[in-house]
Amino acid sequence: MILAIVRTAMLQLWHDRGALLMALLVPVIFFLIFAEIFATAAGDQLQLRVAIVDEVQSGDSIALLHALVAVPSIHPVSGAEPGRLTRSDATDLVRRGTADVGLVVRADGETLATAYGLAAPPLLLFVDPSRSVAATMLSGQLQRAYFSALPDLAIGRVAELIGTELTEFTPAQKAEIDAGLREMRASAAGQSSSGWSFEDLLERKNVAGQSAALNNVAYYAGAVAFMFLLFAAAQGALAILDDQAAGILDRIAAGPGGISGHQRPLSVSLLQGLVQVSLIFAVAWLAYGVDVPGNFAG
Amino acid sequence: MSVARTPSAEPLLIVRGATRRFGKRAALAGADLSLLKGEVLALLGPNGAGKSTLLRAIAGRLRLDEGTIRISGLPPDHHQARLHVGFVPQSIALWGRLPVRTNLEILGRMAGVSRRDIPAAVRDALDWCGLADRATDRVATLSGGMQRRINIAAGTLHRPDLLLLDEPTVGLDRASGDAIHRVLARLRDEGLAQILTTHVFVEAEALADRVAVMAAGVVRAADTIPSLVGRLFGNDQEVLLMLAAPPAPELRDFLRASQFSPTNEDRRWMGRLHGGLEQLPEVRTRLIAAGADVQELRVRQPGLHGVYVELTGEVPEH
Repeated sequence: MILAIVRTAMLQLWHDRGALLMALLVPVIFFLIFAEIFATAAGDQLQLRVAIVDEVQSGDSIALLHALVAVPSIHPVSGAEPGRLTRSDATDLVRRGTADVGLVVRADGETLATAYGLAAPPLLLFVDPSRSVAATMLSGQLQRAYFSALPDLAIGRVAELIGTELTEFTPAQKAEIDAGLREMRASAAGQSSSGWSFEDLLERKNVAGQSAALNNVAYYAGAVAFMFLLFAAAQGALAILDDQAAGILDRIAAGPGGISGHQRPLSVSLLQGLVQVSLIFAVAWLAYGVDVPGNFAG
Repeated sequence: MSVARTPSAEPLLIVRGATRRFGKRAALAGADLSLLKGEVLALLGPNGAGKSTLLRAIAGRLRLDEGTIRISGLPPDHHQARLHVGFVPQSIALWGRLPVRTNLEILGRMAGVSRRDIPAAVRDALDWCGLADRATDRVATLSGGMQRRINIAAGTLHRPDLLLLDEPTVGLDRASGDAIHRVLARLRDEGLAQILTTHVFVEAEALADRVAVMAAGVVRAADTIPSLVGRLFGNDQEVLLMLAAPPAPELRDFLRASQFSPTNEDRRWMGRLHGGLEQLPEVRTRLIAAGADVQELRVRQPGLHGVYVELTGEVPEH
């Protein structure tokens, strides 16, 4: 009995090509839209969009950033080269979603060569909490670039640590270490190192003071809005199918307006969808404080 | 049948060799038809004969594989031709949750009636179909007969020259069917040409100037009923034979050889009587001699029923 019912349903679907198309296409469209919304920082062909700001413009900072942008997966936003953007620009780019993460080599903190935790770290990351994975990934690439471009600084920090905490180097030993480090710097390009935490050089800052929850709300508002727009379009399509079954489509299509005269269900459903979307964004704005006007303006 | 009005001699619709196949099956197999301005034509035929397909092709809803259709000289999908045609589908092609007036206003606008003319067009339509007092009711709350009248009214809002009706009284009781007939007769008397498909002979006899009988995708004959009867029966009359029991094979063979045709009921057979009523006793004698247990033997003047049987080879249920 159940098999017969299932078979009947399958046959009806097979013979209703419109419904079949909807049944097969709609899930794919939903998937594509949600994938686009939620997976902006995922995938095997990841391009990490980074707003890069160099407030220092020193040899170390330029070397670090050049090494960073040489990484294939790093895409400086707007084709910006280090030094072009300001900290404010980077904040805006991240807030608007144009950049996944912002990186500032800051002038108001310690330098890359002398970061001992006495003042602000030399590197500042602007992080969108909803894309925190982007900051983590940038941190890894930065670490790689740091050891690649500035190995002398990295090893020098280790040597200093050994000198202060474990044993005191003689002037001759210090001179040998300095000479060795200079050689490392000279032949550093393309080499990698590992084993040292890089996190002390970084400070992370959430953009615009928005919480991760708030950003998630903004994302969900967008996603749900798209979903309801699709529902509305599907509803319009079903209304047309209903009209076809009732003979209304035949009647209208036989008239002087032809088939193009039959736009009511779709246009009404889309209007309904727009109202639904407006309500969703209004609630997100008023109840959760999502900056809807600002996002639209951006 | 209408006698108070004479259709114009000017052709409104000409169908020549209309052919349409669905896969290997030909729904239309070279159908020919014509209609004069103001003329009402009833399209008869068994299910699957091609009536609705032909109607949809005339309405421009179906492209022909072969053949031509011209409405006032234009192909049916031409904008000007569409202005001449109103289409009333077999189903209630209305939005059930909307009020009657709203339905008519929307469909009128879609049929090309200007915003300025819509109120008058809707008012007129509601008046002549006798539902002015139900204008604000939702369509779904009306009776089947009322819905059918609104269904027809919706096809006439743009004042077409030709109204195509696909079984306008299907599923209605006698009283509701009569109300529809009055509506269609009024439209006919106002000069609106109509083609209506139907299985109801009374409907065709009451409304149509001519009938066209279709079978297997072709129009077998199209003419007035008296002309068709004269052509097919001459001076013969129809004989209805009712047997007490279903005939044995031998008797069945005898009946067929005597030009009797079976109907949907085993005991009921139709035949023709040559040479006038005086021949009836001889027929009865021959039947009894062949072993028939005759319960009833009736003679009647041939009419549309007989024409239909002759042209389609099928005995209708109506």
